[in-house]
Amino acid sequence: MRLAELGEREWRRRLHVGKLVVRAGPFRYRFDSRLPQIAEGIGLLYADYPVAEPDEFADFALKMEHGAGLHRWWRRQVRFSSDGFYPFAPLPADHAYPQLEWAMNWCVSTRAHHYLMLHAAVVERGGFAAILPAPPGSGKSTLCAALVHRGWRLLSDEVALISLQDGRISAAVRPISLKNQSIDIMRAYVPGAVMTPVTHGTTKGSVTHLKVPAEHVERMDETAAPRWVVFPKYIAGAPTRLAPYPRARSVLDLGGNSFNYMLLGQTGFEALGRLVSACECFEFSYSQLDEAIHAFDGLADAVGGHG
Amino acid sequence: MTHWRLGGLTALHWQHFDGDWVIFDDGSGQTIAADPVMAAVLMALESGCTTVDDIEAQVRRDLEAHPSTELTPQLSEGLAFLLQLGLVEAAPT
Repeated sequence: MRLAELGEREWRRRLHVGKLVVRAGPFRYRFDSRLPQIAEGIGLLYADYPVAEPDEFADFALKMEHGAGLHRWWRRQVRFSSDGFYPFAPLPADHAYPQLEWAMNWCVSTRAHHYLMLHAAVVERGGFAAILPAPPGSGKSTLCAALVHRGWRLLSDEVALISLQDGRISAAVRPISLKNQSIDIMRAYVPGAVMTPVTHGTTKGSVTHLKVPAEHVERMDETAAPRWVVFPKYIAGAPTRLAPYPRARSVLDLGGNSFNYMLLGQTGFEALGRLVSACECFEFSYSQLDEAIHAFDGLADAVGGHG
Repeated sequence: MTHWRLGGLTALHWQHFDGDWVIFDDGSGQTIAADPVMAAVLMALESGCTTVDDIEAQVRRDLEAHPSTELTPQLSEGLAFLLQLGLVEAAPT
C-alpha cells in the first residue's frame, strides 16, 4: 500500500505515535514526529512510497521532536534522534524537514555496511547505471535532477549502494536535495516540479527537496548494472567536455568519496575494483544542462540504452 | 648497504587497469596507485629481494628494460615514497 492510499488521517496518526514505516528502495524508515513541517514534507514527497504495517521491522528509526527546555518555545529548535541516540546538535525549528532528510542519509551512510557506499548520485537508462561522484558544489544534484526529468531513472541523489555480492546498484530512491542557485534553475527546467518550501540559512545555504517522479518510485526494486563513472563539475560558461579518466585514478577518487570503503577493507577494494573494471570512467565539465544531457544520452545510445 | 623489505604488517592486494596498478594494503588500509616501476618494485620486495641492486635487477627483468635505461633514480624515489607510507622498512646492515 502507498502512503497516499493509506489516507492522510491514518498516516498522520501513525507518524504521531512513531509507527509510520515507509520503504525507499532496500530500506524501511520508521518516522516518529509531531512537528507539522515533518508531516507536510512527508505528505508532499513520499505519497507514492510503499508503507509497511506499523509494527513491521524497520531498518532505521527516526524521531524528530521539539527542542528541549526553553527551546521548545523560545528560539525554537528541532532535535533528531535514532534509537535514543542524538548524533547532532539541535537546529532551528524551521530546518526540521531538511534535517529529516539529512538524518535519513546519515542513518544509511553510517549503518548499511552490507553495501559498498559511495557518495554519489546514480541514474539509469536501459538497465545501465551512471555513477556521478562529486563533492558539494560540483553541480551533481542539479545534473542528476535534470537527467531524471529527461529520460534517466533516479537510483539515488546521495549514495550509490553497490552490492558486495553481485556488484549491482540498488535504488535508494529519495527526494533530490537542491541548494541555492540550483533551486531556481530546476524550477525553470522542470515546470511543475514539486518541491518543499525553501529553507534558508542552513549550513548548506538555502535548500529544498524535489519530489521523485512516481514511475521512478514504482521501479525502486530494479537494480542496475554499473556502466559509467562520471566525475561532474559545473563551471560557469564552460563548454561541455566529457573526457576519459584513468581507471586507477577513479578507484582512488571513488574510495575517497566512499562512506565505508576503509571500513570494508579488502572486501571494499575488491568491490570497487570490480565496479571500475565494469565501467568507462570520465571527467565531465559543463555549464548548460541540455548539452550535459545530450552527452549522457550519447553514452547510453552507444551501448543501446534506449530504456 | 641498506636492506629493504615489506613492512611487518603489510599485506598487498593488486588490481591492474590499463597499464597502472592499484594496490591495497590490508595492514594499514591504504590504497595507492602505482606506475609500472613502482609496481615492479613492490613485486620485487614481495618476492624477497632486499638490496637495491637485487630490486633493480628484478625490476629490469620484469619491465624488460633496455640496459641503457636509467632506473636508479626512479627506484630510489619509489622506495622513499613507500617508506614514507610505512609499506616498506629499511634496515642498514
